[in-house]
Amino acid sequence: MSATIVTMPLDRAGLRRLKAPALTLILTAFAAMVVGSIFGPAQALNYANINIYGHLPVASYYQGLTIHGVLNGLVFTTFFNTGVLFYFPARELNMRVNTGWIWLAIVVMLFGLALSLTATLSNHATVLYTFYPPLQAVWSFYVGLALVVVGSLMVAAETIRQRLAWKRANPGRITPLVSYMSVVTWILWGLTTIGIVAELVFWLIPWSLGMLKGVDPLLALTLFWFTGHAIVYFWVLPAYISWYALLPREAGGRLVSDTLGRISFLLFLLFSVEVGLHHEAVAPGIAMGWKMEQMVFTFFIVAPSLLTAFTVAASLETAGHARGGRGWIGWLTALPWDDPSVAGQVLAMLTFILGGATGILLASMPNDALVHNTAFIPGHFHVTVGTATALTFIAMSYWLIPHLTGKRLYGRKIALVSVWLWAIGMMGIGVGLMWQGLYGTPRRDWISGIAHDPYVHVVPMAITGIAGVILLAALICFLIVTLGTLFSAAASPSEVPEIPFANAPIDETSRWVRLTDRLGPWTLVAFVLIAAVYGPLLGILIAHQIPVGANTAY
Amino acid sequence: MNGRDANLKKYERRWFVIAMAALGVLLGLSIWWMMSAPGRFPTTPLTDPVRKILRSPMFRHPGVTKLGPHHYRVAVVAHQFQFEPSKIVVPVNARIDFYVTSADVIHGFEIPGTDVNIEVIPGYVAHVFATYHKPHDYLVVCDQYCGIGHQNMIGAFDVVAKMPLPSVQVVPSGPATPAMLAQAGQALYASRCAACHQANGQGLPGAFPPLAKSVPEYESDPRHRTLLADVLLYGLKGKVKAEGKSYNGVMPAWGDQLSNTQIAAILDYIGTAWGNKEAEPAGYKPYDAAAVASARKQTMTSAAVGQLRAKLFAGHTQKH
Repeated sequence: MSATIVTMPLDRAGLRRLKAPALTLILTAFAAMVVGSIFGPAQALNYANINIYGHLPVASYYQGLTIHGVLNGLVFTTFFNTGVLFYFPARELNMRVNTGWIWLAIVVMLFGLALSLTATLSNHATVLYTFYPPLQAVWSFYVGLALVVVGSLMVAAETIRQRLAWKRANPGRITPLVSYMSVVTWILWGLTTIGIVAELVFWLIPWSLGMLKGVDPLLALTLFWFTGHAIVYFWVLPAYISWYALLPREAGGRLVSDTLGRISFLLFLLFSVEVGLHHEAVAPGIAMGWKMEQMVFTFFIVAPSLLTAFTVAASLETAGHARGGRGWIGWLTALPWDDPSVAGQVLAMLTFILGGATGILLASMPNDALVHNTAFIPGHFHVTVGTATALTFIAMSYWLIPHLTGKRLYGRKIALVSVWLWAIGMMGIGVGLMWQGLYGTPRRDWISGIAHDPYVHVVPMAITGIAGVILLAALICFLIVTLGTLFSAAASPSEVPEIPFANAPIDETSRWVRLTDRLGPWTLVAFVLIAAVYGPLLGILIAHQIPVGANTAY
Repeated sequence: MNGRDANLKKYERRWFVIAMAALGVLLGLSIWWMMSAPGRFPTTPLTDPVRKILRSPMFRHPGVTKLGPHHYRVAVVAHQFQFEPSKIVVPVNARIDFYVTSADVIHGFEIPGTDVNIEVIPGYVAHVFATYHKPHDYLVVCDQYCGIGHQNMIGAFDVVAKMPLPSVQVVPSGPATPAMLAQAGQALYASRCAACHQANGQGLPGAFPPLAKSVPEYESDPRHRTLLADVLLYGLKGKVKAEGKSYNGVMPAWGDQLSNTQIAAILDYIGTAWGNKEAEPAGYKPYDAAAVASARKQTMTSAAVGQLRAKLFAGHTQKH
């Protein structure tokens, strides 16, 4: 591409061409979230020992749970991220992207979604979103998921290419913050997906097509969790992008340190993958040395989140002060709580405190081993991905969808109610399930379907059940606001929100900042670290595979 | 740098130092605990093809074995959807070595209220050990999704003050007598089938059909008799309609794990237990290993078994 095309700013037609694919991805994401979340209340009631699965159009709790996990954990997150992580950089850098390529990627992703969804809805893929062999799904389930990942990587490549073009056209300049963070997130995604793509392409897909007699379950487990932990950073980093680089301006303040944002994202790039083994702490066949090493890395990866907590809180404090808030709490209460996007994201941060704290707890292997595979685990991840990620994305949608569609937000008060109900509901799910987990109640278990449920604990069960109903109400409110917005009339241009880039000053002379911008070498460093930590173990597992045949007893 | 920024840097440094120190303490404690409490995490690299593990001396007859005055071994095989043995009894103040493997898919082996919580992977043996100082009856729970019957996969782990006297095991030397087969059939049913079909043969509404009063239906027609053997050999997938009710559980296949004699023993047990014996048609002949062997000649998928059952029982009016 010639330099003139690359640096040509976006005109109105160019803007429209950019918004259409972004809107497609984001609306697909929320559609997936809504369908997936329908099963949430049923699952919460299951953990209140109330079985409503006779009234639902699924064959079992486990089919519902597979749909819930795949649509919420894999589809919602990947589609939303693919939308914002190409759109925001293109707008910030004010450059065109190859929209033909983006649309092709979207087609690939939608086709993959259709394949996997059909498989799960037919009850031929009731293997949960972790799809551990020897339980085997129909081939289309695996191929579909692989296509969703491939499509997202196609968009990643385009954004990475765009940044390189910008750097060439702007020699010596530091990448603007949102674009920097987006590119780092994409690079991390590329490294993260190595595990799951290898698992699908070399083992699960050939196996489901009858080309392999069996798959080694421990190898598959290890490849899955190679991706499975780092993916939660893929889920949370776009929320962090909003918290660092969009929310401060929305709240009426400023980002206090552009530099710290870059450093925290770089740390995520370097250390997110080398921690996956903490999901296999109590699995046989893996030497303690590997588990301990990855435990140490897991403690490292807390650092960038702690950096983020400080910087984001300090930034919001400037907003609170600007609005007249004083003292220890005054800055927090002075924030614009009447703005659903701000309220939702601050609530996401507050509830994430519990999520992060329990994450640190689980990083400690002795504690993790005690609550492994109990209800404590979904308790923990509903106050992380369920709040920091999902609630932030919902809150963002309250300005992002009006922005992309050129309409006014419908039902601002309902939107406010939705984020409060969501936050309260998720805290209830978190507390209720974690409490049950401490009693040893297993996760992913149709406990309300047992003749005599031995896991009955009345108070945490009541909390869980009520929280599930609250979340259903939150979902309905979100749906009303979103559909109302989509079907309302176009707003005048002055009413349509613009992307609230914080545009904090970049310390272009800082040696640290210049260092963080050299993403090529840093990617190599990350790759070498990952290879050092995971390589030998994967080598051993691949060399000593014990193939076990397929099982479909679901 | 103005005063506010300097303040910021000061607080940021403080925040970071305190946080990293707290993390360091937790990390250090975790490492110290793990090094001083061996036996808590499975590390044994015992791996082998699944069949080889199941035929090994330790797992051929899973259960509790005394290794010394205060040392016991508990070998467990996890199946869909029952632990074998489903009741484990050990004494207090003895070192208990657990060796757990799976015959089919990934299971969990969790004893709530204790430290035992491990991933059970076919082809691998998980080994942990612990000592218990107070008598208590615990549950053993599968905490890894293993299929449609996962929620029923619950066993018992009893820590007792004094071990019960071992029952005398007579190892049969000649061909199995009907009495031996009947006893074996009952034991096999208890350890493999009761998790879903229940000890009283009543099944579970919506999921697993009852066997009480229904098995004799299969004995009037040779095709139905073969079908029953097929169900045990190859499993059954698909909706089962019985007595106007439908069941949408999945029956796992047992043909790989059980011998013809064992399957025949189970078939005879379910054919005669819970009052089924009186309901058998005249001329009912018990199954033998040869009958099961001949059913093995034609392999079927579990879905095909389901379809065959639906076809054979279509329009079949139930007597009760």
